[in-house]
Amino acid sequence: MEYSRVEQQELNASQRTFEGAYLRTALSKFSFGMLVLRVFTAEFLAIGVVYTFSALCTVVMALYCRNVREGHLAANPSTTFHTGSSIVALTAILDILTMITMLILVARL
Amino acid sequence: MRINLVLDNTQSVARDHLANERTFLAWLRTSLTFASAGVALTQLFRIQSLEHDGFAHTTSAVVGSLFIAAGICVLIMGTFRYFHVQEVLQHGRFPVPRIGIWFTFLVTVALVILAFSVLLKISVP
Repeated sequence: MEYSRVEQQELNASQRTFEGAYLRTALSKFSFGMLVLRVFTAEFLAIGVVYTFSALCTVVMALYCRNVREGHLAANPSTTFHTGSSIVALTAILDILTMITMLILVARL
Repeated sequence: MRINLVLDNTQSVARDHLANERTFLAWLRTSLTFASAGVALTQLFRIQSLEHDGFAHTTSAVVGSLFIAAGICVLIMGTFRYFHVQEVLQHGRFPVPRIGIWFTFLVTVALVILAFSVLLKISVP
């Protein structure tokens, strides 16, 4: 399938967002979770588990939304655009809950 | 997927909104960095005091909590900014961030100074 220049630019932008930004976010959570689990003392175990679980949720959500939205964009590129409000709201809620859990865990250490 | 807006994709609408989403993710990563730094400092302060030091023990939890709280504030700010920009973009305008940048800057400076002074207090008895 041939894409016009504008369509190609839009696909590039969506790849920067989904393959790039979302997965980078998940990766940074994974690496820190792994660091906490492997290097830190045992009292930090729960925090490492929370971090890794949160990273898994981010990966699942990002891949699901990527399939839905990139598929939509590739099918009819230059007609309508669906904004990402729902995944942004979900991600924000997930991460606020993750951080509140961590705040409680650290404050009780 | 119901709360997603469906917009006419003219000119750079898709790219603008995707960029807005990436900006949200950048704020999210900033806030995650705050939280990670908080957890890491809590551990670091406890290694510093090898014998059981009550002051280091309490202070490390307080400093760690403050870092994570800053992370929560940054994340809430980034989320509100995403929805605000999404709204304003539809009228063809773009709000330049000012307060958010100053807030993040001042909070970072304050936390770094706090962490540094606690580190000095713990390692130089």
